[in-house]
Amino acid sequence: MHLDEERIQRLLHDELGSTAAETKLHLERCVACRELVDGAREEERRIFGLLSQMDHPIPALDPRILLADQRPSGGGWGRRAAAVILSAAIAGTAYALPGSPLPGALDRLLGIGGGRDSVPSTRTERNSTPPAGIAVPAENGLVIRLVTEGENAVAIVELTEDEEVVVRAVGGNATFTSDSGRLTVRSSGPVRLEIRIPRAAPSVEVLAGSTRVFHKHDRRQVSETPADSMGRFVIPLHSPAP
Amino acid sequence: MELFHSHFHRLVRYLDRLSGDPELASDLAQETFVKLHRRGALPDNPEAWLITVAMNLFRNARSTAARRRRLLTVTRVESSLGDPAPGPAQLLESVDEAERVRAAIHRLGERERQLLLLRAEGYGYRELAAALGLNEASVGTLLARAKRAFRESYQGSADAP
Repeated sequence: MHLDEERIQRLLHDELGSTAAETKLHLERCVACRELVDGAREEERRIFGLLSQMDHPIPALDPRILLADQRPSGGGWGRRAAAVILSAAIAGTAYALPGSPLPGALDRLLGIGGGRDSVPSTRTERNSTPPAGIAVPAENGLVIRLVTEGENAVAIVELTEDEEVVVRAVGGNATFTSDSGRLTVRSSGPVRLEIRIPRAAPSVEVLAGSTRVFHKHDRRQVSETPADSMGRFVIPLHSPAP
Repeated sequence: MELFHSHFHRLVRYLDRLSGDPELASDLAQETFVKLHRRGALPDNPEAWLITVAMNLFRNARSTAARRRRLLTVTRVESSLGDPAPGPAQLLESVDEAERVRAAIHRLGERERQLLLLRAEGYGYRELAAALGLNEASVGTLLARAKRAFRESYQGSADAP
């Protein structure tokens, strides 16, 4: 049986999957299908060539635009997002523009002051791998259980206007297991677990091991740890007793 | 970071071809990545997520631009009365190759246009299916149809008097 359009396209795009061997075998024996494939390849080359006629040079990324969007939030998240994107931007544009003053300018725009070498904490963050994280719905209530190993772990809980609960682990190692209405975060090392809870979520409970350390129920938030000046709950986490 | 490197230029080019406006394309691609980082965690299919968000941002930008155009219509008509008639060089420019391609692309249906532009950027069938709400098993067939439609549209504009 000859190749149909689906298979011809998949062959062109290396999307054949488990039928690749069978298809290639058929092609070796079938002149008509080989001609169809060659024709389809040539047509695609021509069409994509025509599409490229519309292209403009891709402008050099101007991260200040990103910063302008990020700065009003003023919070750590916005700044960190900007830093991550900016470090990508630096990496992306610095190759094309050796000697570019961009990195220094970015540091100044980020408001981290001084020369690039005088901000070790920010540089560490830039060099680190992206934080691990998970986003889960919370319309029907959620229990987040934190299981930590090692010292210096901390959970930072804040309320957001987002639609999903987002948990990120910065530093250390973390694994996330989610089930209906439950999320378990296991971490080790000096990890900072950033937990963003939608204001609209009806009920979200955060447990450290089996101890409840934070509870949001409708508009009420209960925690033994008072909120800081930015409205975040910074909760130290301890390993379970051996 | 890796995602940024491998997708930023693809998104810009895709949006540029879609909009014909390189600055808008760059802005929207940046905004897409900002949204990803604000999200805080990677979605299940990051490529499809990026495409979907970029498409939505483009739609929003287009509808805003359309509203502005409606508001400015009277002013534009009045000012055009005072404009000199376009010269032969300008007329030739207006039918140059890029414009013909753009016109051919925009005569396609939404799905065909998106499929073609996204596939031209190398997005896989899984991402195309997820972003455009298609059955992954028929992406190849739909792509073949989109190419055929483009060829006809392009040739139709070439044959036009």
